[in-house]
Amino acid sequence: MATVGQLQKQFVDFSTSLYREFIQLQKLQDESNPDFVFEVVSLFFEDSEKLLNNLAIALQQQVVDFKQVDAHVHQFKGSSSSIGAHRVKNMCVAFRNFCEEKNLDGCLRCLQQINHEYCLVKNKLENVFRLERQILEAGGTIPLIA
Amino acid sequence: MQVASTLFQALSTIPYLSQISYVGLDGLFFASYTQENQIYAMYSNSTFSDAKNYSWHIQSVNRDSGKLYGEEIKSPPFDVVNSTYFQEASSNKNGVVSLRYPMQSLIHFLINEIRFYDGSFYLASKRDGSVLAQGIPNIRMILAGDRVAFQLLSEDDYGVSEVGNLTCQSYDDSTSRNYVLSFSGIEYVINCSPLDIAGLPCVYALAMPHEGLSSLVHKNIKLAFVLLMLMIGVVVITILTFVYLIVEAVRREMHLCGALISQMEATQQSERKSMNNSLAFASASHDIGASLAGINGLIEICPNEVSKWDPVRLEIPANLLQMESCTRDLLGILNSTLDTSKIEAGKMQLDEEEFDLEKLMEDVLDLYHLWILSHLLSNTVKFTSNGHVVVRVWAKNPSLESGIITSNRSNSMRCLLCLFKIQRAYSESEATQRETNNRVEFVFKVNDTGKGIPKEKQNSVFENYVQVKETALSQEGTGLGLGIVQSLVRLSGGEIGIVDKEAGERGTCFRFNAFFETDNNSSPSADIESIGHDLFRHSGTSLRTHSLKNKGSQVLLLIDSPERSTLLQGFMHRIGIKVHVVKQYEQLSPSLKRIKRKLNLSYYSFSGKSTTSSARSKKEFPLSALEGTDNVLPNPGASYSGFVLIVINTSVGLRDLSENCCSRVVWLDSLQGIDEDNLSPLDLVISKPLHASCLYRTIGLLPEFGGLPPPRKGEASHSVENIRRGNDVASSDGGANKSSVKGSKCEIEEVGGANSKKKSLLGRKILVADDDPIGRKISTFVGVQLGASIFPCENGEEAWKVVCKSLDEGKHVGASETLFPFDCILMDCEMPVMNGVEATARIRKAEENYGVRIPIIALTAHKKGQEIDNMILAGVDGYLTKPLNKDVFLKTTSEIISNV
Repeated sequence: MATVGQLQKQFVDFSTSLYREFIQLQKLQDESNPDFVFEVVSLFFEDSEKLLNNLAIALQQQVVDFKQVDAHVHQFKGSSSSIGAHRVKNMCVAFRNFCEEKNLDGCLRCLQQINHEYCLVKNKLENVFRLERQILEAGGTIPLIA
Repeated sequence: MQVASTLFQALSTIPYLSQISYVGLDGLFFASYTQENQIYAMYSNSTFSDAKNYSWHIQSVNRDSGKLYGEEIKSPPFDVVNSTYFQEASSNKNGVVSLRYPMQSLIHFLINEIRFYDGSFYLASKRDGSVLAQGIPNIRMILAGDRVAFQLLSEDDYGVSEVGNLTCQSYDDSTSRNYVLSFSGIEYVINCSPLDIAGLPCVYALAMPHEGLSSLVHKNIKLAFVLLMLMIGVVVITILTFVYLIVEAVRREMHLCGALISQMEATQQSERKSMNNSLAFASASHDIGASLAGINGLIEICPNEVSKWDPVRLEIPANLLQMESCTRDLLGILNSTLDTSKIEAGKMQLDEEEFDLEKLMEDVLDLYHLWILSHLLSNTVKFTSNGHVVVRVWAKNPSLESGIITSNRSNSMRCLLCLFKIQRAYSESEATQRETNNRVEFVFKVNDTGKGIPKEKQNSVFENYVQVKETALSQEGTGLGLGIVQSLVRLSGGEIGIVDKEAGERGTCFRFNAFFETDNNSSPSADIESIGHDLFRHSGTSLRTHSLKNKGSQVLLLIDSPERSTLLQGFMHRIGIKVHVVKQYEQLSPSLKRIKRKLNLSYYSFSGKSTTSSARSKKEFPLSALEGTDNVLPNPGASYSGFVLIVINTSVGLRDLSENCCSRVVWLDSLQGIDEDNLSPLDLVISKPLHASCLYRTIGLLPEFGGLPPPRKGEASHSVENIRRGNDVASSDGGANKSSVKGSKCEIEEVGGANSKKKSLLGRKILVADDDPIGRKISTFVGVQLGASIFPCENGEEAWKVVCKSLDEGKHVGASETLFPFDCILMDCEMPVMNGVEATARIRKAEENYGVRIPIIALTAHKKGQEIDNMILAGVDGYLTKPLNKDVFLKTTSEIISNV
């Protein structure tokens, strides 16, 4: 088991490596509402999984309703940009272009890539939270990220 | 004289001739003869008629020209006058030419001729019976009249035995009679006949061995026959060999043909198989991925359930955590295999997208250096040696600045692979839509000084599922990394390989190139600048407005690696910071003093200037105040001019440099862990490498880039906040520094800072229009944190209606109510039902009726572009990019609100 110091260092490094926007999100949090980031991110997870599911279903229909798909993607884009997952967001932009072109192949490919990116971001965020939890369990305080 | 030259000619041309003489009429005489290799001429000076003076003379003759030379010797003439020979010649009308041959040379000639055929020749003069030539040794011929006798001489020369006796006479029919005699066991055929040589009657006997000639012929025939047979044999053997070789070659060719055909069939079969395999594999892994995701979800649910129902059993959550990490690993493996199979199945397509190389590299490092670091952490013992990864980027196009981005520490090859992969994954996206054929070749080199890959393994590194065992310290991963990378590189038209290093160097150097199209729209120089700006905007400190304006701050670098310090220097120089590089610690304090002296000078010259600096600059005290002199008053206009940032590698040793006031010290830690107690509490410790986010954090310390100047020790007046908070703990580090030191101390700072801002929007009413619940939640949270009251709504139409309604109400209530129903509206750009542009336009229109103008701030996920332009056209007062940053939010909103 690593020491608190190591964990803290790891946490700082990992968060900095995550992406800049996430740090801003973390900075919003203060002691009055310590679970804010966690709440937002869980909300994002829930939302995203729902949306990704919906997207997958929508794209498997005989006749694809691109309007609907576009609406979903837009929502996804909004939430991902709020959380700062810019790579997911960029994928969403590409996705919407394909929707306008009504390019089913492109959409499917995009969906796959979005899935991938989402998994990445989710993994990372979960890692951060896990570290956070470990630090707390080890009795340390969560370091602040510059 | 004519006669003399002719004679001389004859003498020198005719073989064996020893004397030639001419006898003319009346005893006129001339002769040439050879005596002991010297030619002499003998002549008479007059004819017989002048008998008194008749004498002969001898004179030597030049061998080559025939001229006479030397002394003339007079010799008495032989008594030839009366000889018949001379008489005959004299009486002849024309004179006589006589030739003299030496007997011996003639005989030699004959004997030599006959010896050639194994024969022997005897010659005897008939005149006196003397034998001129003896043939067979030990056989003596004796001539007696017409009879010839052969005698065998015994070896002691005494005993003589008669062997044969035969008659020698000429026959009329000019045929010669042959006799057969046997001498000492060998039979000879003797042919004997009289001969007249130049008037000398002789008898010759020719002895030939019996059957000698025919045996000679036979011998020759035999030899020829053997040779012929030999030749035929050789020819036959050659032909046979040749035929054999041809047959063999044909046979082999047939064999190879057969093998090839069967091999081809096998290949096709295996290709089909592997195609099917990979298809099945792709679908299977997709299914596995789905189920894994399910398992992951279930595992995530479990801890909550467990803790609800059975909070005592702690091992279950731990197990669940392990399970989770296992599934994550599985997912990772699956993803990498999926990548390969995708590429193999040809499904991978390159999406082209614009990217900025430098930024890309930064991103890559940002993403992965932590991964590497965490890897290092878990293997601390193994990785303390000084390996580091240098990522170099250079472009052949000279306009794009080449830059070495950073260096990194790692011993693990796997990290490299990851770097590669990510680089490729990003790099493969580039702009295509442009038709310009302006392609640029980029060459990437990834260099490490780690363990390296042994030479003989280098070829197999790129094969899938192959890991170099000696170097893969932790056997994790599937060995697919480089295979995928290679496929990707080839997809974009490049080639990847391992560059040979020089003998002494450690590690491995990978090199790959790729062809990208360039975007002509932006000039390179502008690019670099905008990179800088963009990056700083990312870091959330909105450095853009500050950059390049203030030249006051300086950076002092003390880094042992010259390469890195050059890099940093270049980078900082580009964004307008003065950089000094110091090689050794000993030089540090002199150069620091020098800088300070300069700064002091410039400070005084600066002091008269008025600045528009914000509230924090008021905290700045001039240096002289520290020195205890009171004659200079604190001057807010002092700005940031006295700031020195020192970047020091921890390897030079830790020292408290806090007495060097007006400077912040950044320690570059190299993971060994340092004792932070040795350091001034203000010093910042950053783990290596200094790049990307760490670099920005460091630069962010500079006042120009939003950092706060360092607080002074013992400085009382600036800690107004502290006093207000009644919090003395942070007295020594009271500044609310964004780029703060880690550890618990800075938390206090941050709290202090937050408190000061906390209610700055107190009592303000903000309408938030965002369709995205998460975005709404964040905006609300930020707003509430700042003390504002938030009215959320879900789309543009709703917002518009709310505004209309409240405006309407406000009118009813009259002037008693505040003029604005809202102090500010945050408007998302893209929303269903009614988007931000339209909503803004409608609100503006509605406002006209009431003569008010509510500030509207656009919220957008995009950095810039069409969307914001549209919003500005529609009439927004400002814009914010998602995700929201509290400081930026506060700044923008308060500016806009105060403007109104």
